[in-house]
Amino acid sequence: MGQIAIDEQDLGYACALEIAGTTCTVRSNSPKLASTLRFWRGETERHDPDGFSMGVVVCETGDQYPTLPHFRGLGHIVIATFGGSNVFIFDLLRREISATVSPQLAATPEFWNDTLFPIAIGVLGPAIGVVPVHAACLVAAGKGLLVAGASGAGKSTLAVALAQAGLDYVSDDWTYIGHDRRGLSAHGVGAPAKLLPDAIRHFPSLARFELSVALNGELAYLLSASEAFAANSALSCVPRWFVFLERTSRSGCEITPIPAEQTHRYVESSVEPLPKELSAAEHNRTEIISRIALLPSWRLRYGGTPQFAAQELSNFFSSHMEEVQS
Amino acid sequence: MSLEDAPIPDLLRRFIATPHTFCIGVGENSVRLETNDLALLADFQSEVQQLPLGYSWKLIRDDVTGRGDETTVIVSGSLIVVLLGTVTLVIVDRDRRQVLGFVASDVHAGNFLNRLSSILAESMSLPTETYDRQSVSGSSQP
Repeated sequence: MGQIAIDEQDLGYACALEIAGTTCTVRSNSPKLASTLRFWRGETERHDPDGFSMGVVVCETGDQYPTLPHFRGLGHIVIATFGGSNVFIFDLLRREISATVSPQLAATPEFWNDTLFPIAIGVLGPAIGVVPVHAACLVAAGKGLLVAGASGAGKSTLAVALAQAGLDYVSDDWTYIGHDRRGLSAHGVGAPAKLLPDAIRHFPSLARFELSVALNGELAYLLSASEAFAANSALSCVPRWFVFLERTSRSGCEITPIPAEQTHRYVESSVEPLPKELSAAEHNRTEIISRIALLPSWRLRYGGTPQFAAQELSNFFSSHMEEVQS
Repeated sequence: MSLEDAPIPDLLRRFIATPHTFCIGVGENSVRLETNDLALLADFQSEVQQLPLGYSWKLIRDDVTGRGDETTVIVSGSLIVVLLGTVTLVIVDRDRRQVLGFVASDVHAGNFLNRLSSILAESMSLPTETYDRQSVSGSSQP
């Protein structure tokens, strides 16, 4: 029987990371993890009392690379295992993650950057005042644009096309929205853009890259937008617009306003219900969703290439700048 | 898909109904179980004398079969997590007096509870800070 104690006294290597506008204090028993986390783009000196902490024991006896994850949750606890040697325990009431990992995993920056931190924000979000919204996020002239839509609607291809048209790229699939006294803030976590194999029709340069297996088992191109498409990247912005994306088989583009209730319903439908133990977190989340719903919102229906839709959308927003509060 | 609501999948299996309940004792000495599985309920009743007092249990029979049979016990603050393979897992929150768990679909209820009771008897009697650190390697230098 393997027995592991995650005891703060043993976790002598510490660093603080800025993730989605909040601070994660990481403590580990191994310099290996601290060294790996140097590759995270948001190291900070700031202490955020509303942030979360993570205690990680690197077990030298663990010998596994991560496998596909297995998630379960009950009450205030969520557990994710990536094979038997890599276990993450998320405690939403205490805003803590306890983990035991293999040395191989501790030394793999892609796992922490592209998998674990996005999962951590997704799981702990309600407890730390961050709402994960199923939307891409871009920035035009300093104003954040959220592009929402069902899976397969084309958020990622449109996000890449908008980035190629000159908008700053924040995220292509999930955006993390918080609220403070200055208002809403939208954050990416630097996760790679995920383009399905047929996106090569619109972006022939994808031929230079290999397909990978995404977290959900799908085969996809998982790429850094800045490296693959020379996009300007931003980690956060103030969201000013909300666009709901729908594809049609008919050529053309139609942009029509939608009422706040519909935006509210969409955002609410993209977040997981919470158990009764987390009623305070649910209250905060509802508050943030209500504020998101107040953003000027449109429905973009288009048939054609993502480049065409990106051009139409850019033109539309250029002519509606004055409608958006600065 | 349009803006109309779509059902949200319960990816974490948090909201599986647990209609079968069992309660014994009163006040601080009571033990309560909620589960979705009658076999777990029956074997829990047989094993209850061996289980810690004063805890509220929620055990879900998972629809996934077990993977691996290695037992891992992780102690972190007031949490004790017992993993039997990677599918059967039990979380004990000592501060909140709660036990939450999932049991793989092919794991025998009686064997599981018997094994769990002996693991909990051992791990819950030891204070966190003296709990077997030998398997944890690495230095603690800042």
